Amino acid sequence: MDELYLDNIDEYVNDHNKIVTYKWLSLTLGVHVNTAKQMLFHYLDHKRKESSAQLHATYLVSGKFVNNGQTCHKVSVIREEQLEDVKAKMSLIASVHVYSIQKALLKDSGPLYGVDYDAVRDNLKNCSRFSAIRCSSAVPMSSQELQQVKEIQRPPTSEPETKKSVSNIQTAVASKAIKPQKGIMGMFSNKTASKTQNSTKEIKTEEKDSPMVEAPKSKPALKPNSLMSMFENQTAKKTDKTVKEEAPPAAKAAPAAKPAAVQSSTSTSQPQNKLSHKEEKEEATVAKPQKESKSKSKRIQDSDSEEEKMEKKKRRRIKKPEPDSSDEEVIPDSPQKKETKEPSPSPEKQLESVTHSHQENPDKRVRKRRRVLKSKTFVDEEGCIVTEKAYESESYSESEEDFKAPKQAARDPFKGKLHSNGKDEKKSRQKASANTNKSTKQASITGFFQKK
Amino acid sequence: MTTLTRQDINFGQVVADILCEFLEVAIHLILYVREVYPSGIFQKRKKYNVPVQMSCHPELNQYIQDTLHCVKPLIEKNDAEKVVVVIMDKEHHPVERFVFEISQPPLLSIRESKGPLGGSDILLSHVEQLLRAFILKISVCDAILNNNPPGCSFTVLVHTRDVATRNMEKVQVIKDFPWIVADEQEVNMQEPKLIPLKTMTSDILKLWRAVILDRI
Amino acid sequence: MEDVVLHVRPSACEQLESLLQSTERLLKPFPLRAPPLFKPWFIAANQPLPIRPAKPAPIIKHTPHWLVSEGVAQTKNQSNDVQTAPTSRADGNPSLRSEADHSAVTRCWSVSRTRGDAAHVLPSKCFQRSLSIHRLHPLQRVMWVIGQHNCGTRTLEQVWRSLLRSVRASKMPTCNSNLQHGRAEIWVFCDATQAERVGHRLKKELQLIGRISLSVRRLGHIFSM
Repeated sequence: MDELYLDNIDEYVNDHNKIVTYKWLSLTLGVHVNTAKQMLFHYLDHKRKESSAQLHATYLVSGKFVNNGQTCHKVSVIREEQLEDVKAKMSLIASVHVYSIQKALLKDSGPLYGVDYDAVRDNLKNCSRFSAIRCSSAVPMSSQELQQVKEIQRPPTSEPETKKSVSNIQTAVASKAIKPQKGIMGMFSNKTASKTQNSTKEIKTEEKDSPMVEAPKSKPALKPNSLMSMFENQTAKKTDKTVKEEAPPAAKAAPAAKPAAVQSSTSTSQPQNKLSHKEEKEEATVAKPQKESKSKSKRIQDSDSEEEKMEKKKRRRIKKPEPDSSDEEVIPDSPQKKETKEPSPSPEKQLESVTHSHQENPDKRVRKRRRVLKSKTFVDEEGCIVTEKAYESESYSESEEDFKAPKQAARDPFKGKLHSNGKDEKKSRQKASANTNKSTKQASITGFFQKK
Repeated sequence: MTTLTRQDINFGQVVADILCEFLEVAIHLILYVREVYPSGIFQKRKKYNVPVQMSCHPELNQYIQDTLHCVKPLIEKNDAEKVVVVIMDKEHHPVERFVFEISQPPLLSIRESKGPLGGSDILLSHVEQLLRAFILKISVCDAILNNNPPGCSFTVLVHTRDVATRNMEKVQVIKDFPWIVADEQEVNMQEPKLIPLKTMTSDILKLWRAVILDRI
Repeated sequence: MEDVVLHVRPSACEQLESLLQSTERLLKPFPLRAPPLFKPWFIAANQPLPIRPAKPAPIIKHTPHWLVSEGVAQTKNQSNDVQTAPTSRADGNPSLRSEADHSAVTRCWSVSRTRGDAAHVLPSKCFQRSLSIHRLHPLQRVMWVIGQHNCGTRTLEQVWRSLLRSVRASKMPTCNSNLQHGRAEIWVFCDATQAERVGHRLKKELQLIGRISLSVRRLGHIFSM
């Protein structure tokens, strides 16, 4: 390895004031991740000897960690000054390497994810090229397979369309105007969307709206909700562990999340990962999902009144025409009631059920669970306002997840929480659901121009 | 190729929406990174598909929102030239200014490369990428800044292009949220030092950001 | 404007209308905006001063306690990490607290975080046997049912409130609970492997009397204590 790369890194770190992560470096210079890690180490070593301008590094440490007598595998991204401390606490260290180098003292892990984001995005097709992790069985779908998926997808689309076509004009508007639009500015699309919505309102309930809005069918049927979910699909095998819902989050989330900058930053996409494995899950824990979903829906309904604005979204979900479904269902001795009240299936959902029909009872509706970190605010019995953050399992159907999960994350900071612009919300939901065929990252700003 | 013109959609509004959303994220992040408020009031949220820190304090959030709500019409009409987040010390002397200089490119055209709106998709995802880069720059800006003294507060200054348009009643679109002309003291720094942070130019907006410091 | 001749391929004749339209749009002059005049960056004496909100930004000295959730506080003790958790659990602003008093609400569900302490107490042999008889996976969700007959003189509501407190204090690992108004029952869901422990805790913490029954979906009642 010649030493020129030291100058490269120096330029990135010092002149550009960049956060240089090993992953970013690997993608930028086109070197294997392990090489990139070594480069960072050498560079850091070099600079420390020079004792030149101040540099900050973060490290990744993974290994066995005993927490309350429970052994888990913990992966942490930590600041340099915590390195020895964290290492000392591990009962067995599996790996330690430099994760990133930067001039700034990072206040949290967010930027670490941010820097990698665009690097991965620019190399989406081959972002695992330099990775040390391989999954030989994860291969892109052939064009034939894509074709098949498309065909399966087609029939469901016709149904909403017929409903939609109640007014031709409106159909035109919808197909033209509705665009993926999750992140940045749902507000933008307000006009189009509200137009569509108003005209369709009489015929359908709010929730039903969403499936109506169809994205063009011509694109690949993969519907990555986020960059991450895309990967997870491919590396399904590897992520199995995280996917298992019932594994105690304490082992999973808590230890990993706090230092594990990376993990935590990607955690938003976790629910989606789970999606991709839902069949497996379903098999494994058939009974449980149902039970929980029931308690969940129950809870949501009942808790309506006390939730604060923060919980707008959830509330909205409450309105979903899902009648007080499930109480009975869970009860072992009254099995006669089935959850058949699912609102009319969305295209996606149908797609799912078709593709996985070998695994699922045809009459069982496609209802899954995922674990989501939510914060909720309520007044407890002592009269204090309490905000709790908790992993909750939440039931959802495919039709929901496509838009809710990403939207929640993306929109929360502003509208979702602060002013609950209902119209806005609905709208963006509509859009989002139309987005199934596109990768989300572009979704956010795009969509502005549909208006007109 | 089709050109979306101002007649087609309200361009000013598009730009104002994008910018105000961005400014909101940026203000929160600046307040977090520069430690104007305790870090405990901030929570991680996702914006532009990357994590950002946003305040959870209703009072502060309301203040930021009210401010931007008044700024937005100015941006829409292309009246706002600069939006400045000023960090002030206890005596209300500015110690740092994060200046967002806004201008809109002279030619408003959005090409549609293929299919309906295909072009604008690409364009806007590009804008989003640029805004992400801005966000990242804010996250690492403390590498080039000094620590602020304790007890800092902040305000938002808006430089308008034209004094004539600066009718305070027009600016004050929210009741109980009046605007005033800033004091000289709040604006001028002793030995200002300019650190350009990031420029972005896209087909629809141009944003330039710098920090001005009063300390060497 | 001069006349413009539009040549169309025969195959494109059907789209003539739309071709005409887009041609018209193309021929429109590009909208131009005059570039802004150059202005020096630093404010000169004769330049107008900027405007600002009259109201000063709020001053927040401490993180109000209501922003610090238990969940966050929990991550706090692990705060030697890059990921930042709120660091100060300072005394909240009393006014904000009183503000909270105005609406007392009741909820009929509760979810507990899964805590690290959830493990290591192995279920008793007897309980393990009944798990294995029914072939329950350790993480299978099972449900304790608390009825009015377990509450003695208290109402179900009162028991429910104590349960909420216990759940909030994380004494009920892996539990989701649910007040069934209609059936006058409290349902406490937990992982099968934790069920015995939860059951004991329920009885102890809530001072339940009589036997409570453990159910599993599909199988119905499987155990009681």
